[in-house]
Amino acid sequence: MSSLIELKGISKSFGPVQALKDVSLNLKPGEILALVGENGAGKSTLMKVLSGVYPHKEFKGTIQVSGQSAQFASPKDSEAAGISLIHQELSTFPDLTVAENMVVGHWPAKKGWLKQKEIFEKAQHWLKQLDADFSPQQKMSSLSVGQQQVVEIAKALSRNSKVLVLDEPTSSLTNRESQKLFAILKDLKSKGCGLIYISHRMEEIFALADRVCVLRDGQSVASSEISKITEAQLIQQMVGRSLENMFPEKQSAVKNETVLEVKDFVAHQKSTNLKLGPLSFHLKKGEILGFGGLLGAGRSEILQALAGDSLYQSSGAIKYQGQMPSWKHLRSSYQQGWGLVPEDRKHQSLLPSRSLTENCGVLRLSQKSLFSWVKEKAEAERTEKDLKALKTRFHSEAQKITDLSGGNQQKVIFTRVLQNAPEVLILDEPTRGVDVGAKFEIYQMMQAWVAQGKSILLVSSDLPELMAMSDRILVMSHGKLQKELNRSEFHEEVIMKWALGQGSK
Amino acid sequence: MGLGAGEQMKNFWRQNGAWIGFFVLGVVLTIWTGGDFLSPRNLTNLLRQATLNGILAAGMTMVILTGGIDLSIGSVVALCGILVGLSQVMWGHSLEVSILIALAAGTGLGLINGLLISTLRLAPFVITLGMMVIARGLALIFSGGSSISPMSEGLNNLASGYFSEVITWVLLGVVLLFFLRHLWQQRSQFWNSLFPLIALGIFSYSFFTYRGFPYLALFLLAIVVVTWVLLNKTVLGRGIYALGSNEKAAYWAGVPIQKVKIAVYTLMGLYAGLAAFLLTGRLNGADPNAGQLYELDAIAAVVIGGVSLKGGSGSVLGSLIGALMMATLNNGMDLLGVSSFYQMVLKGLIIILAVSLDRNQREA
Repeated sequence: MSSLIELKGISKSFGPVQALKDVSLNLKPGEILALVGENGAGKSTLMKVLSGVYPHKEFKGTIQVSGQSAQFASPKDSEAAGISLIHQELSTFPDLTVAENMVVGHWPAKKGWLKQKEIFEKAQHWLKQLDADFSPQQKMSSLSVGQQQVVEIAKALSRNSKVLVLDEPTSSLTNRESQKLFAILKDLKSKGCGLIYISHRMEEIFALADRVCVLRDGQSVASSEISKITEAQLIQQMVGRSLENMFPEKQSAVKNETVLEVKDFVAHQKSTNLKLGPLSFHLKKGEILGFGGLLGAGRSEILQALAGDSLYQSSGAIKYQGQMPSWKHLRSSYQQGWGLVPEDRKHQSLLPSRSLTENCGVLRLSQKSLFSWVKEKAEAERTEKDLKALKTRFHSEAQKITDLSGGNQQKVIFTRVLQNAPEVLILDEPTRGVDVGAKFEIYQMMQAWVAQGKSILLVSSDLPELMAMSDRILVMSHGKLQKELNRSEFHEEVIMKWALGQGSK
Repeated sequence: MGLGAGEQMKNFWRQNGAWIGFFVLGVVLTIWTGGDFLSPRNLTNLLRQATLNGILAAGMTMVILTGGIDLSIGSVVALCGILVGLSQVMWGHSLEVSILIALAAGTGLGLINGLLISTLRLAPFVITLGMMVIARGLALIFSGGSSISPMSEGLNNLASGYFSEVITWVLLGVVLLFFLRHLWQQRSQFWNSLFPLIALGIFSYSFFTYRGFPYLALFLLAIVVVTWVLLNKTVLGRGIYALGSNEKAAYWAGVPIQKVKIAVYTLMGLYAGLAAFLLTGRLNGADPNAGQLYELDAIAAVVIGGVSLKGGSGSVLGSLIGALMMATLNNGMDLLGVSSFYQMVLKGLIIILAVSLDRNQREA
């Protein structure tokens, strides 16, 4: 059978960074191909090549669709060729109806007037095919994430897509929604569509895929029938080494002194009516306390509220270093020796147009009054020294932070927080978007910090990371604490079970 | 640090683009006017003409660096001017009291802008648009709709007088000293200071051969220096740049965002109060319809000077050149006898041209 899609010798680099190196991949009709690899292995880049986000001039290699060579200048071209990409973070228009969302960019119109009836009927037709339990007239914002995904799939089908690329579609779905999605995907497969399924979840890959293709450091390292490979082999291929070497050996630095005690902490964000808690826990000096759970479990949010984020109204008893603070601003907790590294580096941390020195000094300087003097020279020297201490690679302190790689940017943000000499560090996805080498360094740093007597609250969606680094793990779901696990109880399945809210079963 | 030749060239253009534009404009006008443009009298006048817009542009620089905008300053200038007029003519206040009234009124109006923007979390565009209309209305109410004149001799003199030769020497000496110090610190990038040095030389020559250092220009100089210090040497300045670069990140880094915003709009108001005081002196009267479109001139100067409208990058020195450039345009076209109608069209074209040449703006 001829291939629906054949990618040959794809290479793509961003400046000096080679993101893809001679990658080949093919997909047959009626096949589900799982594409796996670590974060940063090049999966997303490859799919952006396939979907025309990177025009054909910007990479090397060829794309063939149903045996014919294709050159995409934009996502519109690839869509016309029958390829649809369904993103991890859905790009929907919340204030438009479901039907309108399905025709955005392809409005059926006559002399500039929208054909409302046709839009509605078309949407209804395709949603019916997928057994959707909602109406095309509903606002997109009234749907759950799972339902929105169904809309995206219906949209792709309505445009005659033969190839669907799904990027971690289940990352924010409930178990039942996932099962429903799988049924839809299997149905599409039986109708002759080709599916590329990107996921980290082993059980999904083995339940769904026919073949699996493994990317590592921008190269395709293996491609095999799913029936001929075991989970352990697949992981081995993904990481390229056995798991033990990905993390430094755990050395507990936990002291017998409680730094922080939180009792019945409840937080409420008025604007979104998000309610979190109650949460109770204690944190020892030198301890790394992990927070596990699914995306949207409220881990980041409740810790931000704890640190005094003024978006939340909170109550409950906090006992920190023998005091009972009630912080109304982040600055108040920073002043008391807290530090916070937010999860979304680009949007929540970087000052893109400013120098490394300004990026590093901003938190510490903000503690002072507005009209106090900044000693530029001392700032610059301090920055150089502190960045070097974390082995950051940079030319000059006057460089813009956006010139650095993800890992080095993260070190700048660490420096920003460390300059304030924190006792309690909240690290939210500290290794997201960071390459493997820098990850290891970050793990070492975390161990060094706890060895110095600092304490860490670690939020991570990377389970192996969470288990390797934490002394204890609190599993959360729907804003509530589900379970506290000690190191001897760490197990991926156990954590997932509690994260899904099914631990007690 | 090994930069390639191309990179160095780019860097040079980034640092000096506005200055080069300014000089090219100056040369063209000198040739065109048969040398009249370069006469000491004209250059002295040019600097005086640039003063008001320069002061407002300095304040606007801070506002725009945070990613904000202030549309109210033209009306605020008019309102403060009317208060100066009333204070001088109706209430017979001394010069000192009049200036205090102008500064206090401007500061107060700016503070209101800042408080509304930060506490209501509304767009600066909308709030200051509202303030623009309100302040104009108040100016008309307080003045009864007609202008107030004449001002006291002291105020007139302040706006049109010159320092004696000795004080001119001292002032220029101080400026030159700071300049040389800066040059020494940045000696690796000596070329970047070349153009300002030439400009300083030409203007100094004009002052000595004409009537000395104008009082007005001292106000401009002082405001630019104060603004430069605030932006580069204080926590507030770091906060302003951080806020404009990425407001969310500034929030998570604990920058007191509300306070920074209030400070910036309040300072803008203070500067507008000063500008109003000087304007009243220059016109020898207060007019409730004065200051029309001043906000747009200030914004244009800031933008020509290379400050990003998105916020987060640019400097007050750039805005100073922007203001000088706008004054040069007006002055040159006056000399050439171009009608003010055509001047407007040309000015608009120059703004678009200047901005299209600037990388910062293109990213915005």
